[in-house]
Amino acid sequence: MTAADAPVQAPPVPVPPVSVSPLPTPPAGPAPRRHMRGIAVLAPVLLMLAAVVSSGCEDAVNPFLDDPRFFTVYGFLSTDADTQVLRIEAVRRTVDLPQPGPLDAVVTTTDLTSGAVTTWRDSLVLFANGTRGHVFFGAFRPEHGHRYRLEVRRGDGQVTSATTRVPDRLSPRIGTEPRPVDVSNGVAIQPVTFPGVTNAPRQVAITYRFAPARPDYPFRDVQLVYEQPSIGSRVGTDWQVRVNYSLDVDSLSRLFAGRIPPLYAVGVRLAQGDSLWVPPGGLPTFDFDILIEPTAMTNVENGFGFFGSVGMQRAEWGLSRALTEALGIPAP
Amino acid sequence: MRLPPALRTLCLAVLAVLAAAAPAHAQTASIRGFVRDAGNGQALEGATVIVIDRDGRVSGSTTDPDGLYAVLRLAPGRYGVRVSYIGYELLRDTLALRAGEDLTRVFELRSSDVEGQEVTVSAEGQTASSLGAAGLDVVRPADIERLPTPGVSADLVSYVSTQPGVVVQGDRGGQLFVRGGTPSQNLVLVDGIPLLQPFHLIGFYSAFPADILASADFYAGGFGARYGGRISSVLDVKTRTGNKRRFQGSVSAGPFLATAHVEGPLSKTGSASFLISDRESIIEPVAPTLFNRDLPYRFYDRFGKLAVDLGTRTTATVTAMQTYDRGNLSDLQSGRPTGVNEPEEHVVWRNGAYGVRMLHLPAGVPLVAEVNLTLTQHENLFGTPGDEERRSTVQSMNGGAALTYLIGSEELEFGFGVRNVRLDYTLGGQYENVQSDVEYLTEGTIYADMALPLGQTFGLKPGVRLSAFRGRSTVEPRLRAFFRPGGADARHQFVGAWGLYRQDLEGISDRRDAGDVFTAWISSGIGDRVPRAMHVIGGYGYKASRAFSFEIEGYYKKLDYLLAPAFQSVPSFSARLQETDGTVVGVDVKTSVERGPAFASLAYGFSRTRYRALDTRAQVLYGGGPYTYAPPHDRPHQLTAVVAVDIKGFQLSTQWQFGAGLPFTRSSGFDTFVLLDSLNDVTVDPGVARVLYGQPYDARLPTYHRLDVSLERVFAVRPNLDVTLQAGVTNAYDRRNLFYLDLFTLRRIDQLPLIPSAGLKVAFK
Repeated sequence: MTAADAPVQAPPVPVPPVSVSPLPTPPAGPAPRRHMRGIAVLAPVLLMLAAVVSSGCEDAVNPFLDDPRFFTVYGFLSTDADTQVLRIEAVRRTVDLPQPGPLDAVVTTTDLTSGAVTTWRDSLVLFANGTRGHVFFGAFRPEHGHRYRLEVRRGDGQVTSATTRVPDRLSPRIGTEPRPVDVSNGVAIQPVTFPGVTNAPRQVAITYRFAPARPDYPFRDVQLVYEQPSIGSRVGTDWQVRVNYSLDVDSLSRLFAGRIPPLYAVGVRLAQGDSLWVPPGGLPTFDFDILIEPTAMTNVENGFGFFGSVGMQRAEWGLSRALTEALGIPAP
Repeated sequence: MRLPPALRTLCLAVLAVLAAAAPAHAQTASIRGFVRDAGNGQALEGATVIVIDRDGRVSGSTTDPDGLYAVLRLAPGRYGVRVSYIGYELLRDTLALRAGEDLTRVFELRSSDVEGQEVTVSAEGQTASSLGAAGLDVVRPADIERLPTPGVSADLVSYVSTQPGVVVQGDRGGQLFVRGGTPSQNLVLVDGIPLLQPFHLIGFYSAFPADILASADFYAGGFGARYGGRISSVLDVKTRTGNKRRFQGSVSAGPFLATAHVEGPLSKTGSASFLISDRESIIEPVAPTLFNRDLPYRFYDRFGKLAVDLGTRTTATVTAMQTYDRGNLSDLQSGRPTGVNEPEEHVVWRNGAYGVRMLHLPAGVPLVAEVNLTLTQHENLFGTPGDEERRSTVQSMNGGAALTYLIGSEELEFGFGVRNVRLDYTLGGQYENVQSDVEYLTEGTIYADMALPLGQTFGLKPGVRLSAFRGRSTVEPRLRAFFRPGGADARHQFVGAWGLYRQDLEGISDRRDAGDVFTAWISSGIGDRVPRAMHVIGGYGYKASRAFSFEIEGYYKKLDYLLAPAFQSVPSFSARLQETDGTVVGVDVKTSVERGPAFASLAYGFSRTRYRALDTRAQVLYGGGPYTYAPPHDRPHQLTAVVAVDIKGFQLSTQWQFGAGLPFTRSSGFDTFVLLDSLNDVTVDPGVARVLYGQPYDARLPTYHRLDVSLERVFAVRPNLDVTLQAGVTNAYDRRNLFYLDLFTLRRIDQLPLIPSAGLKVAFK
């Protein structure tokens, strides 16, 4: 280490105070007035602080919204059934399910078109997963085009309600039968058009009616449920279902182990939901993660859930012998 | 390897600046070196080195955190040298410089023995220039020791968490939210080594006790190009080196911690030293006896550092740090009686940080070269003890160098680095149903930061940071500025900063539950969209003397491509993540008054943090466009008041904190959801239990406030032995502050109640 590199020790004798700053030093000495100015600047902050603190003594927290919501309803009316079903439960303040027992609710539906009132019957259902739930049964068959108002009334008079309008009965148009020559190309498709249906139906099922196994037996009906995206498509203001015989024959052949009985007729059943029963937000399909949110697709007042209706639209027709045989199905 | 165009441009620009400056240097002389405390060999940051020529012309420099100074472009000749620092005797020297000479000198200052008398007076500390840059708060041990802490182990986090822009969710969890950012968006460095989760489960403590601290630069935003990879804040901790002259140490005990630290020289010449510190929690075994409740926490932090002076031009340090935390956040304060053992889940995290840093002053070149090699290991577990179903580990090896080129009063720092990261996570389907994955990532970074003082009134610090990461390169320009009307002795200062920032690693947490602090580290980005932020900061400071200061700083942050848990009404195990963006607007106000033995400070922060959920589902549920909400760490008002008084040898410290309530989501209760997407049979489908959430984060929890008090006295038992006794109380008026509310079980988890404490510390020196 060279002398120039060695650390330089401070001299051992005290050095008188010297200002070595190359820059002017601010006036020394206490400056209480300046401090007072500083405190004056702080005064508004302190006042605000006092106001805030005075409201800060509350330490309780209410996790609940103060909104009048009493029951959750899930279900729909169906023109295809003589007995309607609804799942109803009381909105509760604990996550645990209540002990089994009667629900404090009187459930009625009113046909707003005819004025007929139906009182529903409660039942406690044990589900496969071991939980229980209240299912209400209403003994009536709803009419196409009628509006129904559901009321779930608690003992203290609080009411949860919802209204649905059952879709009108439609007259479907059965399109031209495919030519037998198309069958060999696997494109044996016949359109069926339901006028005025603009929303995707809740379900589309194709029914094939076959000859009974014995003459004294009833016809054998086989129902094939079409899944998305085969439920059809919107064409202008109509909904068009495209019955795909080629694909259906494959399914039927598997079902009958290759020995398909004689075919008598074909039918389409289209379950048309009411105008509110559509995927929320203009989405093309229903999304579980969205539907589960309380604010999604609900028409229930003072409650949660969805009360819908479905109008079953039907069409039936027969196939020509030529087409039936071209499909590989015996004609009657 | 072919460099991206932006990277090539930057390299060429740096080389051009270096080449242009070299000839000028050959005609002049310079003096560089370090300023240290003669008593212990510690670097003195902020010391002033003044060089005066025969005509009285003055040149000068202020030392950096390494005690480094440099006075350049001096004409050949004889000079008087004055080295000064508050609380130290003035050092005077003379020297002669030849043309082209690059002299290296180490100055060692003696501490003033006269208590309370300042032997030298420096402009530094009395003017607005000492208030710091935009977004920056320089923290020193004395700042921390003014604050009351339970026990005698002061800690950096107790200071940082009281800053106006910093939100903590509670006195547990170790989660800091800075100016609207989230904990994983904070960069924490200790001696240049990144640490991922350095804050302990008990919120009073971090990995940084005051005993090992030299200083810490806390950037709440607007940080320079030297720092990268995070979009919110930087906490750059610089630790002390051990005493190079003599051995010293201490042991202490309080209700939460037992600590020990020892340091001393490793050579007779005083060129090497060591420092070892260990803090171990003791709250778990003592809580049932002292407080009649279980506090199931265990944590420690262990630190070691070797420092070696390799001549006068080179110093080297080796740093090692380990931390550990284990606890159960969800069960504390739930009224569980002592001794009741239930199968529980716990969270565990460990950090290992190891690094070598070398600082070198090459002869004949006005350069400061810094080389860093670091290794960071982090592990986070959550689940049943011994069989944790969630695990995230990070291993990161960093190598980098920074060259600071001194060009007269300008300064150019040019750095580059390479980082290799291994991410390994097993999430058990917790996030987006991801089970497990291993990622290997390599990042190359190059940056330049320049200081351009335009006279003593105005200064600009432009910078740019370029990174290549996962096949994409990013450019992050930064700009910092100050304006001091009246020059360096001005009482008023205006500061500003602007910058773009990107996040390369992302810590995803389930913020649906404040008690779940498990953080999984994954590579950032949704496709090519990497989380990014723009910071804009403007501030004003006034400082007339050391007795009074006032600062106000406004900020705006624009955040993009963040991942946040989606809103879900079903108590799902798997958190779906949604893309969000957001803005943060706020104002921080700080003022302090110091008169004789009394100190008082007041800090108020206003902020407004808003996220926008860009998820299609959120848009469907809450309106046509993106849903805007206040995230659960949005605290609009926050205030901290500190009063510390020395009365007849006793130091009384009080701190009162107030925070407006944090957002939470209310519900209407619970029900069962039945899916109706088809002709579902409601007599068969049992449905799914559901929380009937209202609008996300539309309500506020109760306000938070707490008073902490401590009284401490140091007894000089012998000349080389001090005994410190401390008594204190945390949450003095037993405020029932809410930590979090479990919306599924409706269980309320409170923060710590009134806790008296006492501490004892024995220090030899």
